[in-house]
Amino acid sequence: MKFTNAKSRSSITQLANCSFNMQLKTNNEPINNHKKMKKYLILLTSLLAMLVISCSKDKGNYNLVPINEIKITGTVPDLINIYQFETLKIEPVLEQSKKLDENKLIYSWTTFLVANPDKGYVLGNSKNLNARIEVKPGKYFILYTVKDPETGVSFFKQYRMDVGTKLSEGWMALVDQPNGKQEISMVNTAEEIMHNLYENANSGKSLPENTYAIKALNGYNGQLLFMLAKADAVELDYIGMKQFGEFKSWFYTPPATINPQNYFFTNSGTTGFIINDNEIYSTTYTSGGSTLFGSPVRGDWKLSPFTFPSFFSDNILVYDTKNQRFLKFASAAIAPLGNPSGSAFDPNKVGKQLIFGAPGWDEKYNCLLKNNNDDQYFIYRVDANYGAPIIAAEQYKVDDAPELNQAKLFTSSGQLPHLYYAVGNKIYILDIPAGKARLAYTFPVGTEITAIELKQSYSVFYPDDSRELVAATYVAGQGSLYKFAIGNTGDFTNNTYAKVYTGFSRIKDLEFKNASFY
Amino acid sequence: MKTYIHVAIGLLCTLNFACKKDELLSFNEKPKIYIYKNTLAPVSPVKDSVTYSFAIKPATIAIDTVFVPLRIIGKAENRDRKVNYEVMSTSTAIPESYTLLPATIKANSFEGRLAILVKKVPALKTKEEKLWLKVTASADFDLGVADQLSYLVKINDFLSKPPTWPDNFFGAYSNIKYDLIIKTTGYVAFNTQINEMRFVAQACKNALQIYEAQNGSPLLDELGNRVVFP
Repeated sequence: MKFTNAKSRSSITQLANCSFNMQLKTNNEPINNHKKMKKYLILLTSLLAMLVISCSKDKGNYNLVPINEIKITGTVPDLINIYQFETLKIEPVLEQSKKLDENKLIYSWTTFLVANPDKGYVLGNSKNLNARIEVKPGKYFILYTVKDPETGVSFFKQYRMDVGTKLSEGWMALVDQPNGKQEISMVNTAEEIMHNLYENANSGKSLPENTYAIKALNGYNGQLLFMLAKADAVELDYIGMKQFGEFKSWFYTPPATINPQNYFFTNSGTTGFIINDNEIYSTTYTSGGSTLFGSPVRGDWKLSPFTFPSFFSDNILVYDTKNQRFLKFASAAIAPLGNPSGSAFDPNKVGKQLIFGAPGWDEKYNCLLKNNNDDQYFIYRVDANYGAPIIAAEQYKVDDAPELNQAKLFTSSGQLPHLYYAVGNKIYILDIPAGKARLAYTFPVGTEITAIELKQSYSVFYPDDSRELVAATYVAGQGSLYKFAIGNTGDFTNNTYAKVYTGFSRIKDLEFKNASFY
Repeated sequence: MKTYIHVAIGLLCTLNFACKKDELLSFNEKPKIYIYKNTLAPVSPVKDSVTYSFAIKPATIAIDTVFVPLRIIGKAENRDRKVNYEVMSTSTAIPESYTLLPATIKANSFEGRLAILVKKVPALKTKEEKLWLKVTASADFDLGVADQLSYLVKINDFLSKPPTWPDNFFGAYSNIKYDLIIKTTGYVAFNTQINEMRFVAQACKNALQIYEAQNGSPLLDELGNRVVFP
């Protein structure tokens, strides 16, 4: 009997075929070798035994030994501030329950961006860290791992590291140079004074002609840095101040008249705005896709550069200088405001000139207004918060404010009911509810105050303490920057300045640049 | 004893033979052709027609080409392959308004397109020509997906609501409003980008203000309604 090889053979047929062939074969050969047979048997038995032995009951009779517990301490604080390209040294102290030789432990130092911890950068693999920090400026975690090779158990310690550059944080000063061009100087938080930052970062190129303002904005896409000029504007990289964008490239269709007057975000930074030639342009950063600015929202109005952004969406208040009224901007459109009962004034009929507007106490904006006879000042306070029932919140008359009618420099506290203004060599503090101003500081005769600014941010990402005021002065061809600390009464601590920095050209604008939160 | 051994060996043989590698399936039929109506159904809608309007093109354009995407089922080959297609009996387009150009699947390609020359003829001013096309079998291809063999090309020379018209940004459609958008911004098709659509809408609002200031009256659409954007 013979099995033919069918074309498609099932495994069962194959099995039968196989065993049958084997039988035929053994039948043909007499059993004359018991040893061989035994061998097969042993082999088979052991194979079957394997199947049996592979499962056995877990008796739980392990030899339990306490592991080597390692506690990581040291003198380095959990939050480390460091400049990029500096060397970070950390010498942790290890407390081991079993006192193993530290050289036998396995170490690793890895850093992760807080905002995007997917990718780690290895800083070192020895007990102590001694590494040049070459990651980009930003906020990081450092994870220190100590592994006991005997048990395979790891112990961890996490540090926070803020990597900055010399340009990360500090007071930026826009200066007029003797050659008529503008430049950027800076006093950083380590009190290093730096000059010609724009030229140095841009191969000797100058800022646009008549650059007059610095805007360091913090928003949805991180920190953005803009320089506004009379008929142009540029964007700078916030890390190194290299220019990479210019005004015309920010629009679907650039405005016919280029006259940038303000660039700002809502408090949450989700919408950007430009006031150009008294018209408003907006762009939302949260919708994905293009973030170019569109067309201006036109109507029977002429908008002031002073604006009052809220936290939410693109809701802001603006001031129409043509009809002297507040208007609401929301969902890319401008609409008149209501005048519900309880309003301190009719926001549709203010009938006064807006001189200055900025954040005030209690989350409302302070607006310095002057009547059309130019003989009376007021502070109107507006609530720009989304859904605020009363927008026209408060109004105060300013009855006694020396030299206010000559003032061009203002800054408003976001915490205390005060507005500071400077004229000549004097800084005054206006107590808003009292409607009275008092002298806060007088520089020597012949000194001209050229800029004043409080350390504050419109952005929700940086709590606003409004407790530091800087004043720029110019005398005999020399610019200086004075830093004042503000006490609870709004007056300067000890009635004088806390620090002075010299060696500047004529400072025309000041802006505090916070370290980027990314 | 021997029996045991044989059984045991047989069992072991089973272990050996029980698994067998499957032969790979392969497509051995004649290649098939079909019109590629759909990319990401159900995410994106099936595209079973296209409208070509001379009204949204510069006045100088009197002839243009409309493309209809094709795909094949089967393998790519290292030679060009001919695709046959024809006008269906349901078609109402006048022959002067189009010419069918030869279609091929290029060498080493899985896709191609039908190319239809459309011509600006006076009749298009008042009537939209509906050109129904279907692919037919050729020496190189059998017919592919049953419901993706025909396609409608609409040809006109007047404005009509584009499929991408965003009501939320522009409001109700009218030919006059569409014409204003084209003349003001150059946009003929739209998307869902907030900043971009707001730009288009705002640019038109500003253009309307200028129009009203110059004419002393609002711009009216073909139905006599004032043209407004939300």
